[in-house]
Amino acid sequence: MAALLKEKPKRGRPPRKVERQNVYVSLTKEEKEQIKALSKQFPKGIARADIPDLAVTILSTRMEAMRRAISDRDREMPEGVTDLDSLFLLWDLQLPESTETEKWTSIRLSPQPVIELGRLHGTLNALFGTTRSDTFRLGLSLLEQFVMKIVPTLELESWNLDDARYKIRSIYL
Amino acid sequence: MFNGNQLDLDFDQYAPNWERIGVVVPPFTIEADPRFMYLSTETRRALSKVSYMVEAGQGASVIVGEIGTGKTTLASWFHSRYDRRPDFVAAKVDEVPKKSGLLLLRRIASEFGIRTRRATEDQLNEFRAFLIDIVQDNVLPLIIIDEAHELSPEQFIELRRLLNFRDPKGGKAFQLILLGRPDLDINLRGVPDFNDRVATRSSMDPLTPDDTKSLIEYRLLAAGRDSKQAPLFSEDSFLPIWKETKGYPRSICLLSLHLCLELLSTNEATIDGEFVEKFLEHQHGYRQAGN
Repeated sequence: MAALLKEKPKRGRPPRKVERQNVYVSLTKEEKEQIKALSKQFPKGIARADIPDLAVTILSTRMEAMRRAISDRDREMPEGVTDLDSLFLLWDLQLPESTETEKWTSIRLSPQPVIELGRLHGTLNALFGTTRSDTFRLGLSLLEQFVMKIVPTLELESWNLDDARYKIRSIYL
Repeated sequence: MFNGNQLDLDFDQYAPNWERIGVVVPPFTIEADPRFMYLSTETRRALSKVSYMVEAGQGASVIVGEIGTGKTTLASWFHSRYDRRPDFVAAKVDEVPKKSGLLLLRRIASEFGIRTRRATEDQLNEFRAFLIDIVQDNVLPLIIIDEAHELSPEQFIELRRLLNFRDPKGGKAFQLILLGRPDLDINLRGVPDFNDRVATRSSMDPLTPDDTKSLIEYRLLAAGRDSKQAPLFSEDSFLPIWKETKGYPRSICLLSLHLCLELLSTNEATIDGEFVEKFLEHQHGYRQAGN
């Protein structure tokens, strides 16, 4: 009986905190500054290192919302979305036009966002030949739009990482 | 009795020698041909937004633009793309019948291959029966109306009734794309019931000088010109073309067509700024010739 009542290891999320993993993307100096500026919008609960996690979460959520919206149709993307730029235009984002040179840099992502970024990159690469860096760039632009235009600054200040993830999903899904 | 054969004229000798400029088909036709559609930023924005709304079953989308900004080409593009998909059936109305709502419904019905009826309610019942048929195969009907600024309030009412039809999942059964001049926006304000149902609005603006250059280069490429060849239009030719045409795609194509014809009648190899200026100075009536 004692053996049966003994707590067994649970499946799913591990009990200990899992470290973030390095993912390499090429970013311009401007985009690194953008990450820094975004982190300043979340003064309490969210640090600079959390921004890439949120960028991947928001892109993954928006893509999931689109997938659900057109799930009855035969194609994965709407007919008029012909390249990565079309996604920028569809979501009212500014097209990336930087002429600065890009440098390889590592972003640190939690385990789930690592998988999500891999999936998103795989999908967009198969459709439009998009690179992992461009995929991340799209997520970063979506996060900037979310912070600057969608959520009031006062509300933003009290969030932590889990709140932010929850809010993103509840707004878009 | 006149007989062309008796005169023994060889009309081919007067046809432009397009091969001389390295193209296989005339590159600057002003007809709405989706194969030659240049995707400017505004066009791509309209394409992505409208196609998303159509495929997400959101109902009505509106695209407005001045004459010659490429609305009809866009309408043809939507029709050709969606009509060949197995999960869509598309009907395109190029010219709106005058005023009558029933006539519009009948025109749409005939485009879908539905039986036309003489009473509005009977016609709507035919649309219902048609929907029941196609919904089983998960097919979505799309209606594209060009020159939609000519729609009357009565016709908007009938379109609204079509938009009220629901599919089994509760989504809008008919998808609608309206393309028209800016008057369409004004007319829509007069029919708030319909206006509230518009899911997205896009506008087709004239092109920028950079887009003008890209359009000309894209058209030449689409007509078969090898990109490795020396440019047919030199860098300094684009600004006078843009100034003359104010960035309207149809005007750009018409002027470029005449510039090519002028080039073919001379021994010159490229169209440069001076060539364009000289042409505009001497042939300012080219628009009438085009008409």
